[in-house]
Amino acid sequence: MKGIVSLYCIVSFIVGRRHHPSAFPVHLHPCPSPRDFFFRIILVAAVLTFAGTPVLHAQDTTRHLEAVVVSGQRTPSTILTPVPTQVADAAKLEEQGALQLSDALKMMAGVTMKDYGGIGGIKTVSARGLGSQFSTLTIDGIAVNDAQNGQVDLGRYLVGNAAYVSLSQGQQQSDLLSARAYAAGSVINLESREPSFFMAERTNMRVGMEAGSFGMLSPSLLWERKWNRRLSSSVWVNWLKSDGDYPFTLFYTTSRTDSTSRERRQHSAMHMLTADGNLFWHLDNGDRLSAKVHYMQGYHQLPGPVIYYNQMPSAESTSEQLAFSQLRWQHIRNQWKVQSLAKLQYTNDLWEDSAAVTSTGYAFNRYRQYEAYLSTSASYNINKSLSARVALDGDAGHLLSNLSQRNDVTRLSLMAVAALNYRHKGLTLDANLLYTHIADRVADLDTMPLYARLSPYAAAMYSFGNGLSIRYFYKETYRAPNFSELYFFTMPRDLRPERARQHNVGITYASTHVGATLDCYYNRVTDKIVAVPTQSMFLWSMQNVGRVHILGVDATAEIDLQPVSVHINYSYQRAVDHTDPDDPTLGKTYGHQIAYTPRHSGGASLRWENRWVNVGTSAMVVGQRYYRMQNSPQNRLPAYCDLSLSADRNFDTRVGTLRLKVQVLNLLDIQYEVVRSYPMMGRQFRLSVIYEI
Amino acid sequence: MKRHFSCILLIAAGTMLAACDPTPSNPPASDTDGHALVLNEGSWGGNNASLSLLNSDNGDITNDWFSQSNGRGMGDVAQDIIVYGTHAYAAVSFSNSLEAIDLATGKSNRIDFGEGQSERFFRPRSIAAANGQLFISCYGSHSVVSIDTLSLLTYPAATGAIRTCTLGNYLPEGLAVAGNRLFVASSWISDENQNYTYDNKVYVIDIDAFSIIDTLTVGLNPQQVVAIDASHVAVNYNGNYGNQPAGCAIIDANTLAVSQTGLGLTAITAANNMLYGYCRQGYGAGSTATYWRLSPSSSERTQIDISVGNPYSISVNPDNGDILVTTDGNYTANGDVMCFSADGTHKWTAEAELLPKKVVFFGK
Repeated sequence: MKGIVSLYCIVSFIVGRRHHPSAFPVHLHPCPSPRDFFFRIILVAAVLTFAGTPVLHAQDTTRHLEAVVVSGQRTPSTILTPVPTQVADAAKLEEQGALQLSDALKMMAGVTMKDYGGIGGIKTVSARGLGSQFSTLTIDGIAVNDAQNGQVDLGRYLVGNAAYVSLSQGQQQSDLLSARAYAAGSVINLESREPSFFMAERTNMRVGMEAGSFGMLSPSLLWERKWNRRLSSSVWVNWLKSDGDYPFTLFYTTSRTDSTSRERRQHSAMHMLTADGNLFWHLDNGDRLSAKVHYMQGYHQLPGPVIYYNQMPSAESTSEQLAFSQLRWQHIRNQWKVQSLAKLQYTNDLWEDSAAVTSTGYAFNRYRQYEAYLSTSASYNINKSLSARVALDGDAGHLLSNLSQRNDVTRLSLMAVAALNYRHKGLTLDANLLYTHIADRVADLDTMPLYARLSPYAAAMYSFGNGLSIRYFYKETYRAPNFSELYFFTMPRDLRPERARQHNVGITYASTHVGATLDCYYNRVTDKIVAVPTQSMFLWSMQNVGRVHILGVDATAEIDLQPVSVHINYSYQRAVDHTDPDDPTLGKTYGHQIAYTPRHSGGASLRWENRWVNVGTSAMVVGQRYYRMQNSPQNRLPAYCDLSLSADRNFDTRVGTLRLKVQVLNLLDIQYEVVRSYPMMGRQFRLSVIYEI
Repeated sequence: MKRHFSCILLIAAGTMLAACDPTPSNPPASDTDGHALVLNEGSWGGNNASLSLLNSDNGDITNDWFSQSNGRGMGDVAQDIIVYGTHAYAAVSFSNSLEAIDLATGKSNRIDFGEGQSERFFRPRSIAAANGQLFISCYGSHSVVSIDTLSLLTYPAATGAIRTCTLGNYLPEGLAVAGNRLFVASSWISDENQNYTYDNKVYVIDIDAFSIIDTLTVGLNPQQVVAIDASHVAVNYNGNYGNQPAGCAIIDANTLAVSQTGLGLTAITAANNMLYGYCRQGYGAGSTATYWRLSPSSSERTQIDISVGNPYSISVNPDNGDILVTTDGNYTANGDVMCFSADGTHKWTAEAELLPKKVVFFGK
């Protein structure tokens, strides 16, 4: 009994107030605090070694200590990196009550989220005014592609089994990056959790149920298994459903001072099943192999924009299936590091409208995409300070659709990178050159588009040693036109890739309790692809006419004054159209803030942990913006604040841990819209119960 | 208190940001001195269809006039407007509204074209008027409806005498009345795979019986129908944007004979017994257009010396023959209304709102 009680005390000490043994509360400062899980293990090990108390075997005089595998995953640094990086680790994601990937990103600086409302509404993100297609989403370092429209719906990816979500402006800082990761304007990485087991455990189970307003239900199951010293696996299954029939206030004038009515969102239900299986293998020779199989199946009703006076609900919906499997192999020696990535993906999307203006009253679009991807990267340490890297990626994507023209499209991409990295004392220098080669094959086109571009990157960082660092990076990125821009309902035309040039200058500071970053940036997007309607409303002309200049400031601060922790961020973004000041039409938007981009935005979150109930609050403030390019009063969308409150508590039982959490989102019931005519949810409640053994 | 401080700070910041947004300074119009209305189509899903009050003598324009006069927006995608008697009638297609605007006060009565009807959507598209009746072509029901204007104005909902004439498979577009006949364009339809096919017909409907008496072949993909005078109706058609070209046909309203003008007119209008139109080449910045005036039989035609390259519509002031061309703003920015005298001399330019689709004039 005494042994069990002692064991319980030790477990509690190590686990502490975190609900999950594998949560690795890495703070921003480089020196870990004693509260860290790792240090607790060391402490316990030390106590056990020197205290002389037999814990595990009461009668034995010798002590058998089980080898403890400490395998918390490293989260990327946000301070000692030349590239502005923001990270939400698993603990942070839990505190925020983040369900979808969009939840994790909207609290980050420099991010403009486009959200069509509710849990099912499409969510895309644009980083630093470049446009959503310049951001690449990677899962465990492997890019998620959608060649059809170049955008990924961030609401379709859940963070329930994530180790962390990171956003890097420019590119990630890592020794082993795929060439594809060098090719984006910014990278969002969703890293899967690698299971970690405490002491002699071989199995972790986590069963959760989350329920919320408007018919939201999300049961989930995580099963982690340690097969032997080297092999572990995890399986995560989640079902998410929501009715989405939330009430909202409809304002009939843009000034919001006149008529209003209270309506209810119709035809907004969704359900989605996600299954994610992972295998982690640490080979005898030190190599690491991880494999993933992922399946998602969903159905989303599309409510469409709310139209004044028209009560008829929409009849549009999408059904989607996504299946991919990917492999990551890393080989690390003294001077060499090699990584290989492979991926196969199948996507099946069906869009339907059963109240369409067609001969039968029904219309549909079906897209099937097949993708194969292979990447190899290597890093070689030339000497103590200098290392050279290369990466080579090949990607083949095939799209089939039910359209009568150009319904069979293939895109072959080849990317190659050569990079140099120099580190000496406090100085870090980075440079790389990326070569991109993209070729399309279309069944019924005579001339095939071909893109070949060279993109440079350079970065520098100097750490003064007292916690202060300064940093700079310059990056050029190209975004090739996607299939919708080239082939669907468009006039055939030579389109150039969009080009973005980014400059960033910043300061970071870290001490034991504070981590802060301040970055100023200047970005230019040229050859921006703009859709121009033609005489036919069904045919668009895509032209490289746009130019945007963006000047911005991102500031973040994390303050850790246990038991209270605070996070604040603020963004200033002056993103203006710079296409043509002299043209009578284009001159009207010249110098105007581009659509859907607030000049000011920010967020803050605060968490107070204590013995009774942990309390958290977070607020997101977004300044006024315009829903069209011309900044006229009729096009203005007002500023808003979205405040949420949460309370949670862990109950440690003999067998496992029970975690209860209750949340109120949009506490002030502020009626706002992110996208014009798509009202967001007002006040909503969520309750989650998680049981872990 | 400590835990609330940051939230209070942020809410305060948010309020300050909202307060930095000055309310628009356009005063509500209390009288209709402008004598012209510009119908701004708006964008789909933007709920930003609107009316601008225009002084056609000097170009003074009051934008967002409908909202200011009625305390509510017009709705989503306004597609046609006519002046008939003391009122202007506007079809707001996606809001399923017919707005009956009292020209003396600016107040509008909304007639619902959605709920309460047997069909799912009416989606009113184009309007014509004669004999105390409004004729409206409807996308949703593939039909033309006729509404008695007197009973329309005394009831708030869509009651009154409504007659429906169901057309064929293709969607109806523009319509016009000449003599005792209503001419309706039969334009396009899409199949389930979003392949578009075009018709080439105009329906002839007897106003009294309100049934189809004839179908005329005019050209592929007919759009607008305008009455030049009591016995001539013009129809422009867009072709298939490929090998079948655009054109403009003139129908004799009595004999129902169809003759071709030989001009590919992108948009047309009629005033003072003359037909006006333009041919637009290209799209986006750098497009060009030629402007024409034709006699009813199209035997006389003159090219007017106007060089606006991106027109969206053409209207003519019946009092002085001024030609008003609206621009498309590249579908991004507000369009302009540009006024030219009958010989093409530029008089003034006023900025309207998004996609000004038509200018209508009413009595002083």
